[in-house]
Amino acid sequence: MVERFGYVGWVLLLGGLVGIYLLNDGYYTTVALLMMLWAILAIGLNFILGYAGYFHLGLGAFYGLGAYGAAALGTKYQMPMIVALIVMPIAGAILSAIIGPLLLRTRDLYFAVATLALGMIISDVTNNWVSVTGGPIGIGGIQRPGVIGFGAFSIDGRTLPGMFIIVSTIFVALMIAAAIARKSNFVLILRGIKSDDLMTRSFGFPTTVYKVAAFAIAGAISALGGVLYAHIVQYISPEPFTFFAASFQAFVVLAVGGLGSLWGPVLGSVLLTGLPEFLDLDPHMKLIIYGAVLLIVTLVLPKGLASAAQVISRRRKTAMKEGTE
Amino acid sequence: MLTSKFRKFRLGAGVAGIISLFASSAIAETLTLFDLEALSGPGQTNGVAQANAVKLAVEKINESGGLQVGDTTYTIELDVHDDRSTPTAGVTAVQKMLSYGKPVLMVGSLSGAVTGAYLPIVRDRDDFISIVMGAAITLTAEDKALYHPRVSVEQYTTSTVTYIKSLPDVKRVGILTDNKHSGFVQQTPLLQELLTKEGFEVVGSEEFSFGATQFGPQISALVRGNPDIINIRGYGGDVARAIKQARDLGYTGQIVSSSGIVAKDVTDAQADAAMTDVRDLFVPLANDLIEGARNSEEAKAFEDAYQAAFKEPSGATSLSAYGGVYILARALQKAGSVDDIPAIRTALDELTLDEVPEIIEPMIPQDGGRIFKDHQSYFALVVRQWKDGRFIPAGFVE
Amino acid sequence: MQDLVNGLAQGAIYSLAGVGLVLIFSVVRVPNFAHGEPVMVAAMLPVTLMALFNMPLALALVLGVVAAIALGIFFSVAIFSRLSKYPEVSLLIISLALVVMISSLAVMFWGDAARQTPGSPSTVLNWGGVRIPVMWIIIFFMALAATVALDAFIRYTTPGRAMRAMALNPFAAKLMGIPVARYHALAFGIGSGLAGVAGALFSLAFAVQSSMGAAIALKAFIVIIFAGMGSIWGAFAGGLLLGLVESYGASYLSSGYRDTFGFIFLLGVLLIKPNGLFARRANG
Repeated sequence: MVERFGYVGWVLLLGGLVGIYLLNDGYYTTVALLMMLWAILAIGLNFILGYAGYFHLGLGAFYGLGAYGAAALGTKYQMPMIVALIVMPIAGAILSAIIGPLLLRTRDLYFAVATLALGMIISDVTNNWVSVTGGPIGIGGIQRPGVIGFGAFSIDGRTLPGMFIIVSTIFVALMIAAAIARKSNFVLILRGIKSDDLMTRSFGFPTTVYKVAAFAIAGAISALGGVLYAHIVQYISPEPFTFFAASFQAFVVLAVGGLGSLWGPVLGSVLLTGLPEFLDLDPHMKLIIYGAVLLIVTLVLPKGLASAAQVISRRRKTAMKEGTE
Repeated sequence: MLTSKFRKFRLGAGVAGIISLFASSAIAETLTLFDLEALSGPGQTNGVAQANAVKLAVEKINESGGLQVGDTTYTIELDVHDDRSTPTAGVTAVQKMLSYGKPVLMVGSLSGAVTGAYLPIVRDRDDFISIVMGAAITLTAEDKALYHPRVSVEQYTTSTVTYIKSLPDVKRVGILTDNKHSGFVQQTPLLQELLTKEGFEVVGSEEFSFGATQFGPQISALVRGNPDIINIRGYGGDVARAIKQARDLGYTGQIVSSSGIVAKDVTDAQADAAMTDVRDLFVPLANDLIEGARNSEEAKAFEDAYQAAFKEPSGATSLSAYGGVYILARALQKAGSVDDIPAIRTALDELTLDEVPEIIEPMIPQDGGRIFKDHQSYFALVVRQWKDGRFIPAGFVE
Repeated sequence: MQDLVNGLAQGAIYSLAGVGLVLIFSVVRVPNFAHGEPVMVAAMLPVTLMALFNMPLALALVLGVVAAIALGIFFSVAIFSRLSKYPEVSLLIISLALVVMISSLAVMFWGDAARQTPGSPSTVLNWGGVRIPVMWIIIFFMALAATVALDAFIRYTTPGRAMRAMALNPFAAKLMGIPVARYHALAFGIGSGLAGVAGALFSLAFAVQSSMGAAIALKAFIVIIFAGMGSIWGAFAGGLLLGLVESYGASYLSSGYRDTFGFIFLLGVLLIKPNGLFARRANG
């Protein structure tokens, strides 16, 4: 059942991406780009929150790092996008590896608030260090890549459809990597840490190393998301990387989609990014409905949208025989 | 017999229906005007007031029989999009407007960040025009798609220095800036430079975040430098609170702000008693024009209509929004087209102040009486002071 | 010296919100991110009551706090007490959903302009050049009194002891016959009431707005985290400390980085003492 859903999922994902490309509509393409962006952040967050169970509320710091790094590399040093795509995730991972061991001394709500603080500090820096980040003025003029490839197989990165192919490719690659990682021993040990850190350590696994690795992966993927953001929107300012706009939103996307699941990030992002776009209401009514949807999804599916298939099949089973949890 | 009669009747009704359909489409076509506004999020207080003024202008045009462009009369249909005060939502909304495959005529834009974010998308497009009514932005020669019939933030800087220069016995100046306001932040170095050049001593430059409630640390830092005047740059609500707390904490010197502060801001902040020796240097609001007897009839008509429709006073950018819609409308008429964007841009470039009598703000005509110089308009500013529960003009800076 | 006064006034508000949150969090283990909403309701409602019903200030303030308590009890009875089997992540999301819904409703009703409640004493004491608004003194002593009262309540009364038992072990508390659901509601009610007092006082001294809840809740969480959870006096001291750090940092170092000073301080505390400054036990 679940295996088959996985197969269907890939077909739907690829079909959806191809469909949007063929539709060639600037609006749907932009919405799809934003959906992929949120899904990417949620995929990153999944490693530290979904698998290892650590409430990382400072994703925006690394997301912003990626975006500002990409902007600086592009506008100050005239580097092509590919350089940012390689350099910034590495920078995100290195930074995480440096501060990770310190932050990961804390747990639960302490870790949540510590990472939140990290995100807030970075937000303040992006807003106040005007000479480097432009402060609230932001950085504009971020150039997209030009023509890539030859002849019939070339894409023009400057255009929105070209950008869509680039982001889709990266996104699908990341999804495949996430699917593979999910079956790996690495993630198995992270899950072990989530259920019992001490026990996992007693089996001889250096849990701190694993946790820092998960933290670094989250940081690297978020930075990657930031690089993509900078090239999609071509203008960055502090606001999109603040707590409520970034870290909190990524957390909600993952939690609504389903912690520790492969498709959760995609489902959560499609629902929560799509919802405000397709509701045509008074802006505040829209927010109230957004909140209500969050509430209802969490109440009905505490394990997230991705668990819907399991919940339905379990209900069917319990209906057949007086079932126990 | 009965059935055939009935059928005939139906047929007749159908034909009449078709005819009336044709007739109505010949008389009134609709023209979609897009409006990008900050209806939610931190910018909403100003954003809603701006959107309301746009609505008012459009309703007025429609009520007067529509907008005649060439041989066609259009009913303007407003399509309002909320940018949630965030760049990404703004970009998405602009993409949505562009996705209908028709040339886009847009008004609105309150936040500089949102405007900065959609700028790269529209910069090279020949099917987009945006009349920016808020947004402290600096346009470059490349930004052909944007027009800014709104005071430029640099005007505030130079006028503030001119004003401070005119005051006797002022030597030391303290600066307090909203650090989320891209325009003012960008101008801070220039302000300091100009003040220093004029022989003033800048004793402190402090910051607050938009929506701040506690200004104690900033005030106490500024007061340590013993300033003769404090220049506060931000939105009216914040400025009123800062003034109140400055007085509470014992600062008795002069204060000059650039905020468009209104009576409601003062009441909300309970700052009534704190407003002596406070001046606000701003592009005149409707009430300033009424009190200052400049275009006062038009301003009063506008303000009455606004309050009748929305049950509250107009906001900081409402007049610019109202005028902006008419600027676009007259440019369409001048170009004789609603979809030939290059022609409309030419019309906007050449539009003169006399051609848009609906502009209420005291705009300073540029070369040849034009509205825009390099897509930017200029205004006479007003020095406002608080007296008997309201702001009245103490003078205009041309 | 002025900065000490500034910091204590702001810090007292953080303390009150933090003390209320620490009660809720330790007794019922709900990461109640919606804790800022009762603050907002009690802060915004009085002006409306005064305008609509010509109500005297004191009564309006009390009704505002009552509304905050009612909101807290609603959170408990209608929502969180029914969700004891849900994982912490779900509770966090639900409380965030409440924040979104309540603050949007408030904005629809009140708009988002910040305002101060009129009618507070406007006298400002001048104490050797240091200016102290009387209202700030009231705020400080109200915060202190509320903390003393809550501490006494928890220590010496039967419901207080029952709540402590719930904080230690909710399962055992239930087995011992403690009516857990009732104390769940009581903890939410008292905690939200303290938040309401914070909101009412805040609205008299500074400006408040419909969308303020989330930011206050964030500060309250920071306070209880760096104070170390489970300590009422810790939360009180933590709030004051946060206020002072922000005040001195903003005044002497850089006002743009005001929030950052608080956060850096928090990180510093957590690095040295991962369980908070005033934590008594090794692990909650």
